[in-house]
Amino acid sequence: MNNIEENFLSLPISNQYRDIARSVASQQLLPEVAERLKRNTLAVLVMHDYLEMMGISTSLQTSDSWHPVVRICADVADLEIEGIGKLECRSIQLGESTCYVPPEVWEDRIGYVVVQFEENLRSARLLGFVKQVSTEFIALNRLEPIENLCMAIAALRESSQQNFGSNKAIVSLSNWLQNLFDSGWEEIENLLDSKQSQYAYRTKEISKSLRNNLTNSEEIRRGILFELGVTTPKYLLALIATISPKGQNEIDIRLSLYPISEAFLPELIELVVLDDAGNEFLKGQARSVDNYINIQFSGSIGERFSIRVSLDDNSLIENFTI
Amino acid sequence: MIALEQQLKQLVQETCQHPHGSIARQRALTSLIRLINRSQKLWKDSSTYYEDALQLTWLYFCRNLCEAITAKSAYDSDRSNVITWMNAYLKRRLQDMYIENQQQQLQHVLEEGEDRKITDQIVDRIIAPPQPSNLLDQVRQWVESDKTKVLQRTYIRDRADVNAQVLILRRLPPESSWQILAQEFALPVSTLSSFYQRKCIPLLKEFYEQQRVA
Repeated sequence: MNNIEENFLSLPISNQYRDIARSVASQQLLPEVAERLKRNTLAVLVMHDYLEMMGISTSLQTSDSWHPVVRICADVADLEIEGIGKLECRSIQLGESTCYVPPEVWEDRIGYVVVQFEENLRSARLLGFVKQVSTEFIALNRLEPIENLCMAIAALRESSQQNFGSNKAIVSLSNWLQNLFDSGWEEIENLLDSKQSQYAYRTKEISKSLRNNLTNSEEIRRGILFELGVTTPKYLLALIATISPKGQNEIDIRLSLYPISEAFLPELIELVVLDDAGNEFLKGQARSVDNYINIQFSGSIGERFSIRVSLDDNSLIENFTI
Repeated sequence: MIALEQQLKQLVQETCQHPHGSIARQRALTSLIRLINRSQKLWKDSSTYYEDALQLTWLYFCRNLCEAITAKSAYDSDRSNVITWMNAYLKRRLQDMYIENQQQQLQHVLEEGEDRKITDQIVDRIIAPPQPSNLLDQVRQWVESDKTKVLQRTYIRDRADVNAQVLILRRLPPESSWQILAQEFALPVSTLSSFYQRKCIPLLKEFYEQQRVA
């Protein structure tokens, strides 16, 4: 399936780019650093060209690989794709069958491409793309054709638009610890408005059961109310987040999904936690007589994750930063 | 040869069925570029700026194959085959660059003592402002002095000995490898590199910003 021989894409490297790379490299006194800068700069420029041809905007100026200090202090070859994230552009020499990916770029990347330069540096072969790496080396036979990069970008654009469509800002959990709460996130007792007073007994029940489980007086709890479902009337549900600090840099998080308009959760409703690359990290699904779903995990300050509650084709997505 | 022309024609047609900017269009374009490269029928010469002209040609190709985005009119399959169309553009660009090159050579000779190469001008336009060649030394000095102590105070959880100051200094060229550092600190490579990526690099960027304003 992965036939590198057939799937690579050749693109020219302009004299202008070769001069830029040489100039960047020449400012370095250490030859290994100079060589690394030259290759990383060229790889980033070639990928910039490919994406430009595909009509995808990139920003060299905000890429770390273009930053005078960062590129000396780290082996980075990132290309910022506007509105999407960073693509890491690694390169290999002729004859190598694996591509080195330094640990300092294992996170915060939407994917990795491998570029092979002709010896005279006048052209490059885009060998392929992977979304994630787990070790220092990518085997070339793991690479997907370069057009899969375009697909990954399109998928990310779509999912970020969905999130934008739900018009919620990113919820900052460490702010909760300072008593700063995002709009829409209320104490359980205040979740319902006057038109929903018929459900007041539900929020009282939930609040009571949650307080009975209170193990840690440092816990902070807020929830949001939302509707989900394709048939009318839709289900009215509450998503509740209970957090407490753990150590210096971590927070314990418990997410609970409760039905409000009914006694039980709709069957097959799913509560999923996604990491900041959009991968499923934890999942809870309602069985036929569940009256809530709980998910627990902890994370470090600064980490980002999303929650997706889905039923049939309907989803609610909330984005968080710890 | 006929087979190639047919293939190209078909692929061009297919490409243009999809809307501009769509993922299907991007995939078809990528396949087309591969096919055209493989045909080896694109004009080739050995001028220094050949690749510059070819790069412009590929951009022109992507932007005007189906709709006229930068050209006066889009590619018309009735008028010529696609490679012929590209070669015409490529040769025009090579011609432009030849003339420009000649003029610059002349200027270079005429301007005595003017040491500035043309490429420097281009470099300045694209690249970040040139930095002093002792930037590495400046960074090292800043990290070592750590006046506000922010570097020492930023450390891996429960490990005040593995702080930003220590790690950055070790990773400044010539850097200690992650393996060696992992052994020394008895922490996994990924823990160290994650801390470096998420905490240390932003601090380095901040330093640079402060330097620029100063």
